[in-house]
Amino acid sequence: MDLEMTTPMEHIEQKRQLWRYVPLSDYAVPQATISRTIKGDIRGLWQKLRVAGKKSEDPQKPESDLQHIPDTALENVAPNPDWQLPAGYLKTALDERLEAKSNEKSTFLVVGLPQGGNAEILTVLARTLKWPLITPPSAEQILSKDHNWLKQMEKNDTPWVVPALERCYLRHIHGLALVRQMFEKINTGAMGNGIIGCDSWALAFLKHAVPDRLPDSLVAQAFDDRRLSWWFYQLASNRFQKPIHFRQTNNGESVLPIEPEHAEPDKAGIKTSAFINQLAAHSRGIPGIALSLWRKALRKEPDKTMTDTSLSETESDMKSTIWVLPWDKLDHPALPSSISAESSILLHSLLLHNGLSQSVLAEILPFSSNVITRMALVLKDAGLIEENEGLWKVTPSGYPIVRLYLDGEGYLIDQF
Amino acid sequence: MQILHNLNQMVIIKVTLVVATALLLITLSQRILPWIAERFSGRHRLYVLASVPFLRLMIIVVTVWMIISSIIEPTIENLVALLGALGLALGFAFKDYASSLIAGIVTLYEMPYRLGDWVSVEGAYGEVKSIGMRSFEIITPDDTVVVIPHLKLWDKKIFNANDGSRNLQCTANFYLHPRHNSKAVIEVLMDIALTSSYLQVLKPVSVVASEKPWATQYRLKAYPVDPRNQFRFTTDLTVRGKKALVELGMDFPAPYPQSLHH
Repeated sequence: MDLEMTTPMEHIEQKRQLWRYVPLSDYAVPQATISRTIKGDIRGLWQKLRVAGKKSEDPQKPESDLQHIPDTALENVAPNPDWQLPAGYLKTALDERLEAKSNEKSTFLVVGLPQGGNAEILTVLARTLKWPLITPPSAEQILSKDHNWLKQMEKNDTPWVVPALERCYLRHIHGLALVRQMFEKINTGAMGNGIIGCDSWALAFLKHAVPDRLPDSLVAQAFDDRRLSWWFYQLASNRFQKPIHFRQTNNGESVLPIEPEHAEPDKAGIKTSAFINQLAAHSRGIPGIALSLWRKALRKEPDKTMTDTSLSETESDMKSTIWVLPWDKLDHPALPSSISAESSILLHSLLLHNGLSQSVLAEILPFSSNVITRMALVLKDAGLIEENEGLWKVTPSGYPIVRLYLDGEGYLIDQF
Repeated sequence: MQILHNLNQMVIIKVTLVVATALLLITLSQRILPWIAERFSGRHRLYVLASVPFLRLMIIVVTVWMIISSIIEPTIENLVALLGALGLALGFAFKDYASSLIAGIVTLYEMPYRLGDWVSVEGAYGEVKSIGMRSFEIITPDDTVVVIPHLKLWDKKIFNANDGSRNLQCTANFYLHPRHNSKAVIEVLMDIALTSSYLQVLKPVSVVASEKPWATQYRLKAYPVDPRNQFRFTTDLTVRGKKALVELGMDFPAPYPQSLHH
């Protein structure tokens, strides 16, 4: 691997290979284990039936005695991931494939799921290796079929990187020409070697919209419960020397293994909890969604001070406990009771483009700007979408239910 | 031979109770099941809706049997005599009514239309909203209820646009001056369908051209995700299609005002 990994955690990570790039057909969505879910429910019932006053080995913690962890402290316990690590594994996976095709011009499609960090990983990869990073065209460039944008990719000695293909097209009568010409040129070998990041929903649509053959594709394997356990442990351990004990509020049991580095994830060495099992299945193994829900579930005792400004002071505290709400106590967004056909179309369009601005939504949807604003606010109040840097996007916690709903309604969905 | 039981007060009360219970159950099933169906999505909605007439038939069969067994001695001879008399009376007095009732039973297993289907019968087009024993009701796009007796099943053509599925083909018509670049037109129309937010991408899109005495007709055929959006879908295809054809510099036949070209 060309990208350097320096910390001890990363050495262990190298051994475990959390981030694994595989062909699309090998992608495996984690499933909730029914026996584990039932076991968790029975255990919860048993806890309730325990004789009052009996001293428990796994003491419970009433949720009323706990507090939300402030955002600044969450950045220590469950920080945003460092994309350098997966970028290294992606480079290795691409090197293997480029070697196999050393005599021909090759372009690869790196497919990412919503909230999977695909564009961020590709951006880090390009910057680290000093490969040309092709910024997506503006909506105006797409609609005006600005072919000058394509010229950036030609005549490069090193592979170029387009981090987000979903930003290079619009579902508009004039929004497909640019991406079609791009693949036409790629197939004729005029573009040299390149790496294209593409959202899974955009890929599902472009398979119908682009007549040309799409390049060989790979995708980061889903995080199953064992990898998720290890990943959360790794994220929490990056800032603190002493291990943090994550315990469930309703039964006091460990949610993450206390020292999972001694276990082999693929050999059932890590005993995962029912919470993590359900989290992996609910989030469909998408790291960004799992991390968002994980953060929502964390609680602390009121006397614990966990600000990033008092890191050394809190290290000793961190040996103690962070509490995790049981799965059924987590608040999940729900669809509005009278969700309209227009709202369904809005959600679908946001997923097909992995987020759109208000002005572009008004351009591509058959509704007025006022109607779009009203629908967007209703969906925002329901916790299903959010506006970030001028783009409306489906929220991480809303994605699972929105995907399920659109699938039930018969809309085109991604294959993952 | 005694056919009837003694019609005492108890028998009358029992029959009344049975009929009242049956009516209550039918009313409840006709209200609750569609209410539940609206809370389901996609195919599950259609399954729930389809169970309404079947459930009603079951209730009616059980009710009739309970009434008959209460009123008459349920022997073979008695049943034959009763049904014979009933048949004679119905044959003379309620021929069409009986025909509709029988056709209503036939619809339960032939299923020429189900709740949620979009059907056309003798010029009336709409979504099937309820299926009774004698007739069924459709709601037209103009929000008008049309009651159609089941006996139409015997001798009239019934057009079912989606036949129990979510796949309902819509067509947008375009008429162009005969002198034009047909390849460009077909490409644009295909993209118009593909970029419609209402399109069911997984179903095929096609363009059929035919020559008329006064224009070349293009029929853009595609499926919406939800059959209930068929008119919005056709409108979207028509409006955006016409705009794209104007941008392409296409000439329209005479009926189109010249202002559309600019």
